[in-house]
Amino acid sequence: MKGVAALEKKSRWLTGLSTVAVFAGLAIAVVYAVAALSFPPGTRLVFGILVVVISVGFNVAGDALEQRRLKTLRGLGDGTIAPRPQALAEAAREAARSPDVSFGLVLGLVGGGAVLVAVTWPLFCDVPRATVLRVGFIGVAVAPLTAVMANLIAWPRVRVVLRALVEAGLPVDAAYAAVPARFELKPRLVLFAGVATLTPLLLVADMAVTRLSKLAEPGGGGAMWPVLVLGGLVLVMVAACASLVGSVLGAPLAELAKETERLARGEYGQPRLVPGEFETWAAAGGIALLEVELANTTRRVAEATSSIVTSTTDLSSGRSEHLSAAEEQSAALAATTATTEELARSARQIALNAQRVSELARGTLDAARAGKSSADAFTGAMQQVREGNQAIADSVVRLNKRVQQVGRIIEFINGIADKSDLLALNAELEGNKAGEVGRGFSLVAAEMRRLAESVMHSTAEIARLIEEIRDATNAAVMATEAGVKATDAGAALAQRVSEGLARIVEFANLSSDAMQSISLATGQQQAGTDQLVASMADILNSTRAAADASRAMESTHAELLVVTKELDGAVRQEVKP
Amino acid sequence: MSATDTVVEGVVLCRVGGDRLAVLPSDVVGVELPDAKCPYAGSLFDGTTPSPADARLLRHELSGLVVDALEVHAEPLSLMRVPPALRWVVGGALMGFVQVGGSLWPVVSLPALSRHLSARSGAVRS
Repeated sequence: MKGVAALEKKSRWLTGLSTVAVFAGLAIAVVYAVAALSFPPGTRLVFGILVVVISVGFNVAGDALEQRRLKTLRGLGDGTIAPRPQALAEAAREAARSPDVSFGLVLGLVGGGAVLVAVTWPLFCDVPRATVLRVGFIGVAVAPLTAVMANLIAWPRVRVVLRALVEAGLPVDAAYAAVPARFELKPRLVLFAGVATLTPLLLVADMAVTRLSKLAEPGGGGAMWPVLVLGGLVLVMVAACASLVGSVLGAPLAELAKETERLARGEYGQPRLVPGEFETWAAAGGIALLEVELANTTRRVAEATSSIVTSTTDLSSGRSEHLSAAEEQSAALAATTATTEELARSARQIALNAQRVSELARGTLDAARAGKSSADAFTGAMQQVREGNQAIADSVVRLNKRVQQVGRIIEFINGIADKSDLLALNAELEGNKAGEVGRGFSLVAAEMRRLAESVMHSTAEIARLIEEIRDATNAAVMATEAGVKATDAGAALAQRVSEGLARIVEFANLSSDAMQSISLATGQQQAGTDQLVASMADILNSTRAAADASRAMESTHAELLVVTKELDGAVRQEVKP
Repeated sequence: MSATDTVVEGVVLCRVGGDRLAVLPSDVVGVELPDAKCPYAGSLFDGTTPSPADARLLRHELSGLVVDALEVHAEPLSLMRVPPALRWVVGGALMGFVQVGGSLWPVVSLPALSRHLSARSGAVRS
């Protein structure tokens, strides 16, 4: 990863300039010592060795301490720590603390080193006490300036490291959050100004005293180059400090000015890191937070506007659907109202018909009762007819017997007539045989014979009539029997009819009661249907009013949709980076 | 009436089906109800028609002849002779003809015709 690769050896690079500051301060101290101190013979070498050893040793120790304080940044650089946001934030905190750490270490080590040289130097050689104290004074005087310089030269590198951490994946807002803002610019500037002012003053004052004292001594004065070199070094350091202070303030302010201009142009989105110190860092963090909040707010506004557009579109669509549904509902309600009115008319007709049917049911009941009475009377009449037929049959049977008796009598008479005819015929024949004497006898016999033949003809006619009477009586008997059977069947049928009419009477009674109940119920139904018609009319009026309101709302929503789309376009124009 | 005709004192006119016969009253002993032993005169004509229920038997001694109906005609009638060619017809029973009521009636001998029919029915039965 490019960002992570940029962190490689950044910890060493971050603290590298503190060593430069230390040696610059050391150079000032050495030059000043050479120019201001009077080294006893044989002590310069020891002094030089002590200065080199102590300064190198303290520098190595200080560098080790600084690197210990930058262990996360070092781990990220050599790849032993994964570039997670927490690690990157911790590295940012370590880097932000690094200038102050360098300040303290340089201040302590330079001052302590001078004191240590002053303490150890007399141990190896005979050094005047005043010289030793002035060595210590030099260290105390130079240490603040060196520390301030180490502090100031570290800040630009801290900015570079912070940018590298952001490139490695540290969110800008997390970087601002990881490094708390400190509003210490004023005391720092006071400190820097005091150090930059007092250190040259002390050194110059001490140098002046020293030069004056040397001028008082015979052959005093000495060379001027150490003074010039010292003055030059001090001026360089002060100038460097002033320049660094200016960069501490100016560079972040310049970037902040660009950022604010960018924000003013509306080109906000992801905040950019503007490394700075103290108030400038706080201001940069505030601007970044402002940009984040502004971006979030704009995004929320865009989202809200988009939602409003969507909602308005949906609402408009919904209103259209609602309007369509309302119109359909209105049409359906109109049809339902018409159907209900038809239903009401039908209910009234049904109630009227039910009343008529109830009256008809009562009429049917009366008719059924009358029919049952008639059927009962018919059954009685059929019984009488049956009895009459039976009497007729009996009479016919008796008549038949009489006719048979008459027939036998007629046969008897016919036999007599036949015998009479024979006798008359024989008499006539005998009379004819007797000749003239028997002529009269023959005439009487012939007349007798004609009488006999007339009787026989009459009896034959009677026999034929009797035969016809017998056939008629037989037919009458059969007809009477058939009539009796028919009468029996009719009586049974009449009985069944009577029973059926009895059931009809019962059912008609039940039907009459039921129809009265139905008539009452249909009357109530008619009343309820009339109320339903009135309610449906009210609902229809309400639905039509709702449809009119929906149409008005649809027009309003269409206008709202246009306005919302314009707003959405404007917001999108603002959100677009 | 021709010179050869004989006057008879009445005849017994007999009807047999649609045919007719006449016998002399002297041949008839009496009129009785039919007897199964006496022949039916109808057999003289077609031989198939049975005698009716009111048929009469003209009795002659032990024989007789059954006819359908009969009546006695007591007026004297001229008996017309039988031609010689027909004298032996029906067993010689045909005696002649009489005219009664505009119709010609064959006069037969009751005993001869009874014997002839009885003999023929016996021959037929044998």
